[in-house]
Amino acid sequence: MVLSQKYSDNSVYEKKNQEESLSRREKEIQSMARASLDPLIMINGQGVINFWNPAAERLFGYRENEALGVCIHTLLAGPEDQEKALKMMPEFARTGKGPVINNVREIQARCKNGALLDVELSVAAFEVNGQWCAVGVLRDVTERKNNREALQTAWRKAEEANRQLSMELLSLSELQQSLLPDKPYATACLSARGIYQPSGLAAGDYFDYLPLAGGVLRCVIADVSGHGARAAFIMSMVRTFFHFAANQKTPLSDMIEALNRQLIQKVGKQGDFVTLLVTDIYPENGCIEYINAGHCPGFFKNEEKITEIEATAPLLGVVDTGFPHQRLECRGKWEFLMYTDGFYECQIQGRGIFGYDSFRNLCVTLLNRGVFDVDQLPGEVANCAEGIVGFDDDLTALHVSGTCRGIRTTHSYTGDN
Amino acid sequence: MDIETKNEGSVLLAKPLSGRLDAGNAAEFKSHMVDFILQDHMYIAVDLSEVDFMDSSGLSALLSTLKTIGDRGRLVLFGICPNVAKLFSITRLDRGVFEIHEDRKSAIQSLNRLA
Repeated sequence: MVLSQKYSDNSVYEKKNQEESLSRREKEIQSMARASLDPLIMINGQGVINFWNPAAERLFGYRENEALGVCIHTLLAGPEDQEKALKMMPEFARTGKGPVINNVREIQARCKNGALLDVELSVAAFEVNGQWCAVGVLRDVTERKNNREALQTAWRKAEEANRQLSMELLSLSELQQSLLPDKPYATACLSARGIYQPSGLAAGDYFDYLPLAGGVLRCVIADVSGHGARAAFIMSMVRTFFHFAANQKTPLSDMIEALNRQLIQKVGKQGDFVTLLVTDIYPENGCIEYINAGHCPGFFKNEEKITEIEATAPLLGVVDTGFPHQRLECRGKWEFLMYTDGFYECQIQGRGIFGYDSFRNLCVTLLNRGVFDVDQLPGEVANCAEGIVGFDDDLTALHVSGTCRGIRTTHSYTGDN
Repeated sequence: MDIETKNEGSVLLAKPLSGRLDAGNAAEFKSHMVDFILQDHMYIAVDLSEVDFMDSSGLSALLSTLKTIGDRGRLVLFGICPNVAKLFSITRLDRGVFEIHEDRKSAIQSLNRLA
């Protein structure tokens, strides 16, 4: 009897302890849920609110006693969601399932003051005594949504600006292409053909051949420093100069000196410059007058001998100096290859640049083959290099060839030749 | 682009730490050089020993620096590898435009005589 009494006392004691423990645990969970910085709302299977924490109060403006016992969809759902949500409730009450359950989604919720808030809602379902309930965690994402929309707007604007810029560059590129000769030059004793492959939409390379009076052909290949629209703009300035000078019958040296002064005045301070190799070819006189202003050496082949036509003066746009022309004599068949540095500055995978010496050796081989096709030059460089070739720069080349019947001493173009 | 700098008396040594000075980084290099000039460094020796490739954009950046300094000081170059030396020789900028020295000692001595 004594033992039974003792057992009974212990059982009561343990039960009391368990109840106290449960009560303490419930208080802890309640306090935790109330302390959450994110709004926590619990509903039953009919959508009636049975828990509403202070964070929900702060976000939506309804006090706990105003929210408890009210249907959540009537209280908070935005105009678009209310009807849909109410239709889903019977299914949720029966199965604990629904489109929002175990999902995170962005919805609009209405506050007490009528304002619609963008909130992120995550909902989980749970069963208590055979009844389905759901707990929702909400977060105000108005700022995040505004930021995302601002970012999307900025992105769309950037894309539009990029599209417009691309159109401008394309237009510039088309214009630039139209400024170059559209067909090779050919007479009985002289022919000229050029190629131009820009690295981008707009570029600073230029070649041209301008027939002058007396059967003289003025050829030029030029390279403006840098790339893109700026280089293309300067290139068009150079081209205008050449055509104007040709019309004015301006001698070579005078033309280059005037162009140099113009470049120094207008773009020299920014470090822009132009390299060029310009020639006046007198097929009847058997001579070529040229100026190489800081441009890569041309290759002149005459009587089976190939000569590098190196710079005779500094590049244009830097030093105010004279640009006297030099003279080459042509006998029989001759060829002159001019090009821009993109050919030898191309990158060979794993080996650095192709290099001037390799390019010169290739050109010597090609010129000695007898028939030189300038259109094939980029391909020849690519085939010659062991490894993949990346042409990062513009590629421009001009090949001029002729046959001279004799040599006369007259030279220097004055328009009266 | 990183540029290593060191003051040697009134001379600023500037060493671009990139293998290439080209369209990809010339604008940044130019901007650094302008900053040095704005900080009143008018005697600058550019050490190009790390640069094994330079294109017209890189050359343009150096020319722009040279012109920005103008008569207020001097820019000299040293440590030039054969690839880059070829560019200076082709463009003839090694003849009276850029002052190019074999080594750092010679570059600094030259600037110190003027500074």
